[in-house]
Amino acid sequence: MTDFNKPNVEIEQDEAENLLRMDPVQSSFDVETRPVEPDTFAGESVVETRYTGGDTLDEPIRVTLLNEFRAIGEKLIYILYPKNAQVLRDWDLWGPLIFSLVISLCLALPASRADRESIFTVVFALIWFGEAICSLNIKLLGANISIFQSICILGYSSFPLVISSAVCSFLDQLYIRIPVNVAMYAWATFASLGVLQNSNLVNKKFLAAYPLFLFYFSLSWIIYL
Amino acid sequence: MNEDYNIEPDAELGRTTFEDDNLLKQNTPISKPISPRFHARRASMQEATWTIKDSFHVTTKDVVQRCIHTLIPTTNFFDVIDDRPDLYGPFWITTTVVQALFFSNSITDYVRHLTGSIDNPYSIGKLVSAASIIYGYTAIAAVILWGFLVWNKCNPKLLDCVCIYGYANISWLPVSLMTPPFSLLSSLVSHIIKWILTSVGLGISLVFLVRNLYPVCQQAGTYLCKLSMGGIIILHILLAITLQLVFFK
Repeated sequence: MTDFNKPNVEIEQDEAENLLRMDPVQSSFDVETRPVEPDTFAGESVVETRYTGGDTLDEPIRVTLLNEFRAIGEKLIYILYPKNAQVLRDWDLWGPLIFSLVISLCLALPASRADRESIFTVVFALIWFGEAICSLNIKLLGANISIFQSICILGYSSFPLVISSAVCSFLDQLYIRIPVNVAMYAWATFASLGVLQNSNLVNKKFLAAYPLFLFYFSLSWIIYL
Repeated sequence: MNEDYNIEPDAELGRTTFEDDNLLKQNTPISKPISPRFHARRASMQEATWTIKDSFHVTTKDVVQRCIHTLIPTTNFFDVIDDRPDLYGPFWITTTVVQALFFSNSITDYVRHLTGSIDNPYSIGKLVSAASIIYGYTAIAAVILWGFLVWNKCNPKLLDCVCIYGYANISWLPVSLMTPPFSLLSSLVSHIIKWILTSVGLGISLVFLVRNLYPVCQQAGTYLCKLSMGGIIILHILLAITLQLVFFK
């Protein structure tokens, strides 16, 4: 697609690329990042940069954002219905960041003015340090999983807690809050147990799973209050 | 059986009560993969390459067994550890106690808020203070004990001290979980019952600590032994009083 917004940049790039292409020495370098098909449209030559596996700094921002959202969506679908374990291999921390921010905000905003900052701080720190320590614990017990990957899985598994915190911050009836909290806690814990399924922990399954129970329990207890 | 009693230059704490070894071997068959003598020798050869990962070589059965032997302190804890002190137990037991204290405190506040006697349902500062008190006490008391023993040339291992104090925290778990119903009743009888509960927890952990650390401190000489025992007991009583006043009101 041609971009009308930035014609100048494209023209300068095009001239530089043409010069590079004419130079016999330089033309053999950078085969991957050089644009392949220069187009001309209405007198201005615009260049279409294709994502060929080079660095992603060159591509337009919306392409990067779309890629990230697609990755987040794939992982969310995995949490909802664990079918394809390959999705968890390429980890990213965007999802955990968004979820932790939403949880902390939903818990902090309904509180009184004096408590608001401390609640946000404590919950945010609890989420990130809790995930880091649980992942470190799993790694130290002998699982061959990288720390960031397990942080990613634990963070995505806290998506049910996002739902329950949103529900609990708006609704006050006890008979809605208790079942929702219990169900979301169970879902989050079972989703996070997927971090243990590929690891080679022989006798230590419960030792590795217990901190996850504890972490999600403490989060959902604070959400419930 | 003589080979078990060789004095090794870097022997760990606690192998001074020998009469318990026979009892232990008769009653409780601990599932250990390596015999203690071989493991100790291997530990002394590989001392330079100890990593944190070495202190996580425990299985579920090991941790459960250590917890049970903490609550019912009949055998020497260092035999139960069997030369493999772990960091998993102390850390996660301490974390569980922190969460349990916050849980019990906040559930009483929540019920009081529902019945209308208190404004805000919970205070998150209790979680922070629970964490700082329990983590701080365990870490600092273990380091003080280790420093004291190093100063008196007893050759202790820091991991053993951390293990002792970490597993001793488990007695606060049932205390904090049983307190909320009595806090909600708020009569004189329930106050007395809460104090009794706290002192039961204090008693269990004190018996565990004293029984396991008394032979160790004996190596330092009788006067210093009494001093250190008194220090340990006083610190623990202070912890119990602090917990009672801050969390179990």
